[in-house]
Amino acid sequence: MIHYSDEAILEGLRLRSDYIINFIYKDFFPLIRFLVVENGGREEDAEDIFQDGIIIVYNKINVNQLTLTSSFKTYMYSVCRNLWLQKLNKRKVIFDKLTDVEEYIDLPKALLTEATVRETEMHRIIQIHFLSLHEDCQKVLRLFTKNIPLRDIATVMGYKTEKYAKARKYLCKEELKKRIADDPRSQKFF
Amino acid sequence: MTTNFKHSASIDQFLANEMAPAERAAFENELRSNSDLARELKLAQIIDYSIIRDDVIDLRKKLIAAINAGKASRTEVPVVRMNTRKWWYAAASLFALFAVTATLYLQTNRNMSADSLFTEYYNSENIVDLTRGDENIVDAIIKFQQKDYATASDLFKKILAKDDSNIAVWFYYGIANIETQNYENSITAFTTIIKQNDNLYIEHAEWYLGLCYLKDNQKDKAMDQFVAIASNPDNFHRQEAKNILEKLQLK
Repeated sequence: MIHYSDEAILEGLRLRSDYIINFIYKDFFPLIRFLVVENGGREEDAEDIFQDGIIIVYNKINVNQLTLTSSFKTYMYSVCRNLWLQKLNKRKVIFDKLTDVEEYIDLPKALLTEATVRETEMHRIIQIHFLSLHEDCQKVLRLFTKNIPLRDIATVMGYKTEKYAKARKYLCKEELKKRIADDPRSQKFF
Repeated sequence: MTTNFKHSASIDQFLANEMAPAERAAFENELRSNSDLARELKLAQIIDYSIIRDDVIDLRKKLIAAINAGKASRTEVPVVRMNTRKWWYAAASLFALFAVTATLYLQTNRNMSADSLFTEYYNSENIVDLTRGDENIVDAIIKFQQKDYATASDLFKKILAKDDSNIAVWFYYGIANIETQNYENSITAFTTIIKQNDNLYIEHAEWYLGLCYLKDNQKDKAMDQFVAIASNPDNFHRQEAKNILEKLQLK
């Protein structure tokens, strides 16, 4: 497999490069899976933690607030480790010592506040359900969130009337709300 | 959470600022005492907030795709394909910054034009890997990977203007210029690599130089190039060069 420098990984992640995302997944996810599964979690938990970790790091990169003081691998592992510890605390599961597979560093407290972690998790659930909608629904909902005039939305989507555009958006959002509400993971948020 | 959303219509109107002032005031008043309404409104607002950023949605989509692909590959039975030539190359290019694998290796065809020969034997898809951690190079490589070869070529050119000793960048620059059909630039790049004479890309540069000559209607130079490659028993592209020579001589 190709190996990228830490600078390349950060830049590739900032640009959401397919290559870098796949590289990060292939190179780092096994570590996160090991960490989570060895410490009371399941594969699905590891996937959630991995996604949340990446999104948190991406958001830091995007506002130019990420300066690595370790390797990217150690940083990423530390973020995910912290997320998993918080998750274990919420589940009231206590480990004397986590089984680790990689070095980790202490992270600034402001990076992973309870609010940030909660918000990241909530967005993940919503976005996953959003992406499970039909593409047409995804598109119309996104156009509405951008406050694009109804007339333009109807044109872009190829709908004959503005009224239909509005009705379509309504139905899509109802479907999305239903999917979120049916997801047991969302119970604690709403 | 209930899936019976009773207030969707009024919430939609509220969020879209479509309520008359009196209606809006009544809605806001209702919010204070109606916890179901408040909960539904919160969900609708969070949904809008969660999907408003195109970049995050794009990243999420790619993460899900990577995870699903990873799961699928873990459930597949691994197939090991042995190809001694590829292994030889893998070993020889342990420190190489680029790898051109042997997808070109077994291609055959008969009696073709220079253009179609070029198309048959040219393939940039397998040119991969990254070089020194120079941020400009990263940008250029990403553009290259996105197949934005014109921009990639400009970026490589700027890097070379500052430091023309990076052979890997010369190689990418050459390939990017093939993709944009600026064969003269490609010829310059591959010639530079060959002249430098102490790097791991010479064999590939020789091969691509031959293809560029072919594409640039310099058939004699192309044939000289392929003859040189075909006569070197250790050259990675020897068989391909032999094949292409046969086809050129048939014409």
